[in-house]
Amino acid sequence: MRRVLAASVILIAAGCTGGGAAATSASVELYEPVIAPSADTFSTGEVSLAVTNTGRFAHTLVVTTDSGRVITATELIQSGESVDLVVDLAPGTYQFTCRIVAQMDDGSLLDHYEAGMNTMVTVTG
Amino acid sequence: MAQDFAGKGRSRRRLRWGRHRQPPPLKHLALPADLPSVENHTAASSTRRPSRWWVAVALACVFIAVVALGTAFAVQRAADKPVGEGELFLEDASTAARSISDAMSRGGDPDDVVRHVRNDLTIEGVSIVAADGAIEASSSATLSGSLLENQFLLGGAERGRFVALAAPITRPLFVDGVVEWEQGTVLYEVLAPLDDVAGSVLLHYDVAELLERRARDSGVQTETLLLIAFGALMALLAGLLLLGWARTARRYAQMEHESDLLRQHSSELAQSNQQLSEARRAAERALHLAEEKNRIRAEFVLMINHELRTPLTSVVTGAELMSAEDLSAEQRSVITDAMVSDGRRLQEMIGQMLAVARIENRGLAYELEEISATSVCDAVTSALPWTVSVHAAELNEHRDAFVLTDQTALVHVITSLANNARTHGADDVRIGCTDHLEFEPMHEVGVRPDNAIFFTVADDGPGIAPDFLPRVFEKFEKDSFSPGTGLGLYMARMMVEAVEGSLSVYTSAEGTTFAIAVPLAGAELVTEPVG
Repeated sequence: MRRVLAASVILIAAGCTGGGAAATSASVELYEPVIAPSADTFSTGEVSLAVTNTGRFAHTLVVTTDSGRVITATELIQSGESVDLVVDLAPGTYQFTCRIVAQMDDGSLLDHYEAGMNTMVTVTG
Repeated sequence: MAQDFAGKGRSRRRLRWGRHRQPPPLKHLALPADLPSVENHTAASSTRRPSRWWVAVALACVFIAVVALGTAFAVQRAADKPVGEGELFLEDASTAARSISDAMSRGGDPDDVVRHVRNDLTIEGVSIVAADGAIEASSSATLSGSLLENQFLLGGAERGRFVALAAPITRPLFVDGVVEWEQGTVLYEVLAPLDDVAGSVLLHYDVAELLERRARDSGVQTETLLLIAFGALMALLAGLLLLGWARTARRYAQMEHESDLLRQHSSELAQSNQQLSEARRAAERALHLAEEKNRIRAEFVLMINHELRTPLTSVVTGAELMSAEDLSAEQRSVITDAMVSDGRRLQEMIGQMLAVARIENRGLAYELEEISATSVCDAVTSALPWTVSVHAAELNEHRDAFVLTDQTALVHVITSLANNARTHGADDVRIGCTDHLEFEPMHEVGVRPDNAIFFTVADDGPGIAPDFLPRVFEKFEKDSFSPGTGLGLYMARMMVEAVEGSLSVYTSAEGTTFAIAVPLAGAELVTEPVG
């Protein structure tokens, strides 16, 4: 009986993997001054990112290749809001960044990217 | 008869010294002819003293290389630093706002103004928006944006703040009536308040293009490569300079070492040559001394042959004549007197030789006593029987001074000198005593005391030959034609030296004066002559 259940689990897992239709899911948390993905390595293909802004200010998530080419981006995500972002990733290295430059009450500029809201993720074959 | 014997055999034969071989000349050691001199050794070489300028230039190159590499590192690090676009946007926005404000204040057309600004900044689009988000002018007549839908930008417009945001546009954007960007294209939209004009300027950047350009710029910088190449070149140059300097310094040090060895070798050779020269001079002195001893010995043999054999022959001949029966009594008396005279002469000579030998073997040691000069002169007078009968001795002033001497030795010397004067042809011999000499001695032996009394023996003889004068007190030295053994004055000298005095002589054609200086014993001199 146990062998039948184990074989069934393996078959289901194999079927899921072999189909390729299902996107890899991951979450990305944005807060000052961090972009925190749930994993720093992803598999090739579509990745569904659940982006949540847990910080005090509005943020965006812009996904670029290592060479700077923009893959996709979210719209403005207000504090406490979440958006889903689906991106098709080839093997390589990517950056998750926030590209907001805001002027503070004292007149100074706060570049979210320069402040540290950028991180590297790797997509493997 | 004795005079005849004395005149015989006085040949002036000279010994030939030629059979004495001279020592072979010593060859001085010398450097080999092909050995370069110390001075030429360095000069002949192309190696020169390494200049410190090489090191200075090399260090300067090292410094430049370090600075270049440090600058390259700083440039690359700055390029690699992940930076945002805030400063770029702020600069562009400020330029755009200033240009628009200036143009608007001069009454320019807003649409033309924003087109010029777009062209100047080479960006995708420029718009002027009101505080409520309404687009009042745009570089493209059909340009519309996502401004109204974006609360972040709207808030900036309302509050007159600078804000920038990269986000996908929600609908296509047109430039000059053509879709420039499809929906979903990520654009950077930058909003900056205008100067002196109500509203804000909105700049549109293509995020993809912007980031790609940034990514390209963040690679290895050309300036970095140039600086690294320059630094490496400087380092290479410094290395070559230091290497050349080190090689030159090493070769120069080696040359100096070789020069030192040559100098040392040359010095050793010079020292050896000097030692050889000194050895040669010592050998020559020893040879000369040996030759002199040989000469003295030979002359001594001649003298013995003559001085001893002559009176001995006279005695033997006289004895043979005495055996003849036809001699008269007068003739026998003459022969007997001659035999006695020559026999005594033999006795005297043998006695002198034995005395000299004894003195040389055992030395002389006298007990010096305070003796009155008068007693010395009296003793001399009594010891010279002929002075009474032939010449009276002159004992003049200072007769009662006391001297520190041995009376027997002193009297013996004075009488010997007086007898010697008679022997050498003087008719008048005067003996005196004085505290100063009337003449400057021509030759003196021994050590003259500081406070001395002089006993003088002066004669009117023919004088002493000048070339013989320096040797007059030496052993076996005598004038070739003078009688005697050559020991009398030598003995006198030894005895005077033994009583810590000096013996000097002054001679001329009118006569000779010997002076014996002995130490004064401390008694006061009486300047008045004693009669």
